[in-house]
Amino acid sequence: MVRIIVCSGILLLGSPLFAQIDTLKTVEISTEQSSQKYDTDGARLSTTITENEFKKAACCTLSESFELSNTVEVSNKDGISGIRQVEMLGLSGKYVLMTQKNMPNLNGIAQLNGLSNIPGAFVANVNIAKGNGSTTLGFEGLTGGIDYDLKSSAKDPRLFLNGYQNNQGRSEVNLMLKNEINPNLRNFTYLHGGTQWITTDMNRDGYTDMPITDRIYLGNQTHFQTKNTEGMIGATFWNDKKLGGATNEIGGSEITTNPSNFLFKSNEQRLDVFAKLGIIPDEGETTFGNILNLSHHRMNYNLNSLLGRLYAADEMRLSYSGLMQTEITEIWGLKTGVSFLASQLEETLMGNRESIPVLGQTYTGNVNELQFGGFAEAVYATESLKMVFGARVDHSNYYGWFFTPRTHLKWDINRNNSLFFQGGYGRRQAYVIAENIPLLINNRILEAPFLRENNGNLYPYGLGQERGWNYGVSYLKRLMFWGYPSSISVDVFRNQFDSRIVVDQESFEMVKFVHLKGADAGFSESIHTEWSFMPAMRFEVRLAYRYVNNIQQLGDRMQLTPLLSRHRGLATLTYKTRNKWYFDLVGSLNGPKRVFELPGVRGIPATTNGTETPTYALFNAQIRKTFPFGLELYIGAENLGNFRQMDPIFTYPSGSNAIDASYSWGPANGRMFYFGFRYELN
Amino acid sequence: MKKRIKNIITLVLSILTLSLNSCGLLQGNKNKVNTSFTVYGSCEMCKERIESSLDRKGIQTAYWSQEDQKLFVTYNSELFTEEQLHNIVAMVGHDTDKVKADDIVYQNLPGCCHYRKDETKW
Repeated sequence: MVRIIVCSGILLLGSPLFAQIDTLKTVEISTEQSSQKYDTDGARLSTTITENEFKKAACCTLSESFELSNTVEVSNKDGISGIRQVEMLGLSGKYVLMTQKNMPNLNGIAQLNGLSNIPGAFVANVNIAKGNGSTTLGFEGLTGGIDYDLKSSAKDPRLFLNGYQNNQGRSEVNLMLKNEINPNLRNFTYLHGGTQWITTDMNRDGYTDMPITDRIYLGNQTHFQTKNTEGMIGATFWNDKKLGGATNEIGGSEITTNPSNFLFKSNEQRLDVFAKLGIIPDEGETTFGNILNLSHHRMNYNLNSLLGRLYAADEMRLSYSGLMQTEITEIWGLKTGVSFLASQLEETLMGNRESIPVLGQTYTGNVNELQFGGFAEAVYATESLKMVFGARVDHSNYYGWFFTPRTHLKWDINRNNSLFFQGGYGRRQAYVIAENIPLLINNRILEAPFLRENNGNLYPYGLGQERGWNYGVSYLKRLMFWGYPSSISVDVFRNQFDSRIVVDQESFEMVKFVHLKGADAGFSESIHTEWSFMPAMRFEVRLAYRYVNNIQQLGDRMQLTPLLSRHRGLATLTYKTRNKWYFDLVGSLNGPKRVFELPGVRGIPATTNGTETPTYALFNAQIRKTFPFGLELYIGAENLGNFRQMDPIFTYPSGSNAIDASYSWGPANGRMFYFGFRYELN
Repeated sequence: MKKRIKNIITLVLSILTLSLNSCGLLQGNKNKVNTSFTVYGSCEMCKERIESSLDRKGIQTAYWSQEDQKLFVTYNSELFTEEQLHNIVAMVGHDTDKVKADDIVYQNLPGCCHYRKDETKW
């Protein structure tokens, strides 16, 4: 075996690797051949994932599309709900600023399930940037930003139809219609329906791998343009219904005390109304932008039918932000503006097992926020250097006045090497119940200040704002490799928290919401590397590796976040034939994850801290054929190795009538085959 | 467990190496020539056209950079001469520093590909 490794090493190194580099020193190499490209126009390194890349992950929603990304990861935090959460820099997706075309979107209580309700087929591109973003977008987004854009350009087809079916009973239909009223006025309609209609139990634990799901998504956008203005107005609505639990009880009674009749149920709706208006005066170097956003989000969850643990939330949000952009001199520019947010959230959590039952077992509370702020950002840009100095001051009815500074710097050392530095402060209001729903699908005793003191709290939930510094360095190198452009990127980031809210599950019968301050809040460090190249004509390869180390006070010591891989590797191979057949192969290797304490029952001895999950690999493959008349057919398989976690749901010994779905670290459903089509009419 | 990881890595590496080998990329070739010359074009569609015109047996790599208006080719000198490469590109409508494309072919290119700045009448 050693010989094989050595041989492959020699073959790889001995080939005429860098033969062409010398002759190409003066030539700028763009990486545009790839379906994932680097965006270096701004002052921080970001990646744009185009539609071509999304086609490789054929199913179905935006959160699932990230399975090919090295920066954004997707994980199931419980074995029942099927909720997929994104992670960035080793931290949960709640620290990521999610926007649609730079408009606030999927904020508040939508952070958990929002991305899982955006149909991937409608998405034109997604821009992912690590580290905190521009102050013009707010004080949130500690770890990065995800900005997506639905298909809404003049180039898009008049009609787009997509259908998908897999062998585990999941069906999806997407329809987009473009109505070009005149060259300056376009209307887009989006219709989506998705359903999981078969109960699957591929790990044979008696519980559904994926809940029975019904989802609809309706959207409409109007884009307009006049001589001095440009804007859009639109609305989206989605409804997501899920039913999971014991496979023999799906559709059965909702109140039960037998774990083999356990049931999980959810119903979630969101309505977004948004408007964007840009004004470009005839004279001068100044432009104006206005963004208005209104959303209504409702959640209804039956988290655990054994306890009657119910959760209900109703949220209204109204936000406005106005931006003025002006060029002062050739190299200095200024962006200033104001923002405003009013939000109202009503929540109820019932059926809690509390260790000290003081005020009963039901929490009912409100988070009514009123925020306003102003920001200014100076931009310095020359041929090789770009610097952005931003700061904002905000006022909140809970936290008073606070200041948020941020800096970004890009240095193009020469045409093929770029270096990026950034640093800044970030903060956010935590919606601790809504964003931790997967951690409440169990019989654990809940311990949290909001339950003890109920409504007598000064701050929402009796917890403060989450705050921290984030800084990092990125390096991007472009080179000619085997006759084609190739790129290598390295990112090193660190997030240092001043204040952080964590959910402690270290002892098996407890789930504690803890507010950590100072050194206890810990940090998260990460290194991402990526190398993409073309070994032959129409053949693209991308190899990536990432390391994260997310440390905080959990239990009685500073330790790594549970169920998180420190090391992860990803390889993507794409080959295209001359007559438009595409072959994709994606493999990921996930390193061990730390598991928290497991009680010793069912003949299994109790596990203590330090136990790790096995390393596992996942492979996806796809074959796609594009026909000249606008039709594309695809067929593929996910999890080719049929890797499954056999025990994501833990049942306590008979008599105690308890269940725990918190031990999920790998896929519950095994090998899956799918096929589908896309049709475009121009 | 460690052994399994090793096995997986070995498998991935060998698949990669084998697939590269089968493409004939890793073997040294005495007749292999690297060259670059100016080719005019103006958009992504031009890039696709230029590169796929050279997508044939005997040409290992063909990459056109719009920014530099330059084409980079690796080819087998037993099967092609550099003049032939110029002709192939000019045949699909793109001028090179040695060969000018036929006017009729040029006129039939889609609008975004009309790169001849001085001939604005098109």
